[in-house]
Amino acid sequence: MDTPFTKAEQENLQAMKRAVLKARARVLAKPHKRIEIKTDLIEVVEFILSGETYAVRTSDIREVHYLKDVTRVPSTPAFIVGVISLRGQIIVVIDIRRFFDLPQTELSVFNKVVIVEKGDVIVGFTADEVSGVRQIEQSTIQPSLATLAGKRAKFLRGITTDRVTILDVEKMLQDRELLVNEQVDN
Amino acid sequence: MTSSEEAFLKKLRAAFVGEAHEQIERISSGLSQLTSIADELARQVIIENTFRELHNMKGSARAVNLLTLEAVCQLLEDVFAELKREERKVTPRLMDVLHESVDSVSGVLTKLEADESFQESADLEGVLERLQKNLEISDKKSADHVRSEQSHSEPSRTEPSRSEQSRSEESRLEQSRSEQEQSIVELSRTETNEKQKSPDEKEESAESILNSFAFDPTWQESTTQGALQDALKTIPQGSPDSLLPGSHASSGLFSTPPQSFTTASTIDSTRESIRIPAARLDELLMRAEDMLSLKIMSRQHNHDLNNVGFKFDHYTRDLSKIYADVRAARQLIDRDLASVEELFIESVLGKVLEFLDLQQQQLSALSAQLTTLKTGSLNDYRVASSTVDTFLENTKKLLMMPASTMLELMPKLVRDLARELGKEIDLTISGSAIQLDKRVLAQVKDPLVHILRNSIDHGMEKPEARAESGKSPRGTLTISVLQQEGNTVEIVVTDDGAGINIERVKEIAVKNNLIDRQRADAMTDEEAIPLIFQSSFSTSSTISEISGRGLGLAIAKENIEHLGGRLIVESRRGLGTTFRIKLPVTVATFRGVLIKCSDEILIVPTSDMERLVKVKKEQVKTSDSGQTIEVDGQEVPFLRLNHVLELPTSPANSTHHLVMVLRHSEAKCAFEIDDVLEEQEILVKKLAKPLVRVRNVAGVTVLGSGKPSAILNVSDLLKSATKMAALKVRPETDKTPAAVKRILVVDDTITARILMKNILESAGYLIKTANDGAEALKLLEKEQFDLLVTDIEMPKMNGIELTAAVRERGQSVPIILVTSMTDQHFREKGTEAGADAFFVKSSFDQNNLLDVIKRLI
Repeated sequence: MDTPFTKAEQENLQAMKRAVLKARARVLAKPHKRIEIKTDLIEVVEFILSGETYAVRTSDIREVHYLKDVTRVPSTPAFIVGVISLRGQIIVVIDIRRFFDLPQTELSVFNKVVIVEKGDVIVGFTADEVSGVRQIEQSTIQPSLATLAGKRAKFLRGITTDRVTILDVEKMLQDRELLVNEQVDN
Repeated sequence: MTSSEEAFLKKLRAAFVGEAHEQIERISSGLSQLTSIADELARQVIIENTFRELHNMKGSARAVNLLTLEAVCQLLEDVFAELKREERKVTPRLMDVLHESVDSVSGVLTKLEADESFQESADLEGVLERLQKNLEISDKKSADHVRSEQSHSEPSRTEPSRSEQSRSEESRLEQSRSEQEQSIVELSRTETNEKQKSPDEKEESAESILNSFAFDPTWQESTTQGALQDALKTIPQGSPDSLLPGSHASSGLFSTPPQSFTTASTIDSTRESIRIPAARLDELLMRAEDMLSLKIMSRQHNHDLNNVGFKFDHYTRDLSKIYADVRAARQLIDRDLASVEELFIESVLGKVLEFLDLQQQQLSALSAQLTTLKTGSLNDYRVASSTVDTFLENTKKLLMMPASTMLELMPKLVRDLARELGKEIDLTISGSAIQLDKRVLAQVKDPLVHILRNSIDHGMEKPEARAESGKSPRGTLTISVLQQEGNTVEIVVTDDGAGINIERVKEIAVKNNLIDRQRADAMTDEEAIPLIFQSSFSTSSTISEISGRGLGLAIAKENIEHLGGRLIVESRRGLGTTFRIKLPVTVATFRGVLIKCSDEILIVPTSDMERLVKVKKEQVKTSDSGQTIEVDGQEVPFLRLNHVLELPTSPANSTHHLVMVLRHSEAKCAFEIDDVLEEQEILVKKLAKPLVRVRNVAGVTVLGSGKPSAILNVSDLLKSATKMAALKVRPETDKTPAAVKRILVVDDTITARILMKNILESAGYLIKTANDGAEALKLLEKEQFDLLVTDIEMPKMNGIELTAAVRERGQSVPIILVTSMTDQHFREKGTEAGADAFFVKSSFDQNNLLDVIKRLI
């Protein structure tokens, strides 16, 4: 063989090649992470609102939409952004940050609306962006932090290790504070 | 049983429960009619029909294995068989027994609905026993008969033996039904054969019936279709009533009295189903098919438009090409005209002329095409509007139901309430065959129930009182539905009770600060009666969330007005009261004006808009009580609409105000708006949850653009405006030292105390706080307070104990109880102890609290 390498070098090269191939084979042989079966997974949709990431269970979500043509409803609390007509159905859109009485740290653009449904209540949550669907191990969800006292803590399922706030849609939609039922008194 | 059979049985049970609810309602109203109708012939028809309903229900109960229920139905059926043969008489005692068992069956059905695996026997066993016992006592004549029945039916309830007569009755029934409900008849026939079999065999064949159903996938469809066809088939034999969409198939065979409640559907949306004649569906399908041509037409027009667009693109491309040539030529000429060859100029000119010639032709072709498109689209619009209008009209008709579907619940309600209050009342219902939109019926039910309750509770006197004033001890309550001209219906509720006590109405109105004494004395009776509709009018002395705030009739009136209706009351002292509910036959579209305010399009009902005027800035008068303008020689309060609606301020016009003058009842107010767009037909949609009721907003509609738009509630708006005007005046008077009121706040949590203190102090009250009831009592000993606000749940001495202790000392200071619990029990206890108002923390709204405080001190 006409080669610039000495025999020793050639053998060395071969050994290196084998090592690379072996390593590659090992990596390929590894079962794909997603295929791992975990029993306590919940599937959530994540969305970003004023720089924070929130998540709701996919089973609570009806659909996600671009938010346009939202109509303000006069004489309603600040957390009611307005109403939209989704295929003729009137749906109330809610700003969860205002519902939680959180300070408006960053300006929201409200590009999207996440339509959630529980029982006979269907509402839309405003979102700046919807980042996607992912699975979360239930055991990694921590109960809400002590700093999130008051109103907000009540409506959380918990917070993940990477600081995603998981909302308890059922609790939120069934809470009396969400209802607007006001008369004009004489 | 295999799991699929079980699943099937579940499905079958669900269907049974739905049907049985309807049957029970008809049975129940049949029972009520039995006591109220004197005509013997009509009574016989009712007995016959009720007997039949019971029989049907019994059969269905057996099919779904609800054996105790079957036994109850059997007993009741026997009673009616005896009534038919006149072996038994209708006595009040018997009626009570029957009503009671029908009510229990109804209760069991509700439980079955909620829980599929619910065991009916547990609840019904007792009913069955009581029924057997009561029937024996209530009528000795047939006691033997019942007893023999009982002894037979106890050991094997699957096959209760019957007297010969009822057996023949049975076979006659089977025959008469056989043409009607084919699949069900199959079941019944098998049953008839089974009567000779032993219980064991029967068990088996019952299963085989279920199996045969389970393996017939078309079963469900065939029954519903069958029922529909049968409903139509039986029309010739029935009375005109059975033509109605709601009438039940089985009642069509037998002539029904004109006012019997034989309609099938209930308005309860949880198990909503309606029967619709096939003819109406056919018509609807035809209209729907019409819409296909709209689709095809619009596709054609889209194609045509694309064509025009393509030609236009071509034209612009040619134009830009020629333009490039011309520009190049011009540049040459500009630089040095002399050096440009004539030949070149000629060639450019030639190209331009050629282009112009060609375009001349093409443009006129394009123009012709556009004209065609324009005509076409106008035509489209005409076709679309007529198709859509007819379609809408027909669809609305589908939802038309006889008023009886709603009214059939009333006899029971009246009977129960009358008995509860110790009054004797005969209810007459007329015009229940008149048809209204199902949604109107559903929404008018609650107001109507409220008015009935009001009449029975406040209008009707007790039998003794009636006798004293020379009336028959039994009161008469009438509900008549009257068809009025122009798509409206009037429901008239008349009682022959004591009438409205005007003096008392005035007294309460004065006490609640609705009017002053002087005004009250000057008021005529006609003027004073509408006071009962005021939202803060209440005869009850405590304030709770709804009942005690006297919102009942106010809400009834509001709900009726939301439907586009009106509620009018007439009363004559000693002779009775009449409530007239005027309603549109169908959910009304109304004319509305689209206005612009703070970048939102809002809608105002045209009927409430009195004027629309431009007013110069200098015409606005400002005084202590706010701003006013003069409209038609009258001073009218003037406000900015966005202020009243709590919407952001928009830039104002510099020289003029655009003003709409709204009017509702007696109130009138002028609002500044940004713009007026147009007037159009508006279809109201209810606000969606969680918006249950919003101040100043009546509902929403979806505009042509697909964007929703809020419809203003003018009645609210005028109230809000008055309130705002009043608030502007108040601060000056409130600041006078004499007006400072002292409030004691009692709560064991520091947060709640501080929160409350802040709210109340910023409202101008002087606040002291206490940790618990004991501490509060000490403070009350030393100091004077105008009001006490206390939490209920507290250590040492809770709020209720505190209230009781304060009252025990004879102190009359108003007390408001605050709690996080909505438990009715607490409310009752609190009221009992002497609290004046009750507040639930979760619905805590500071304005609400301040309002109540204002009312109390």
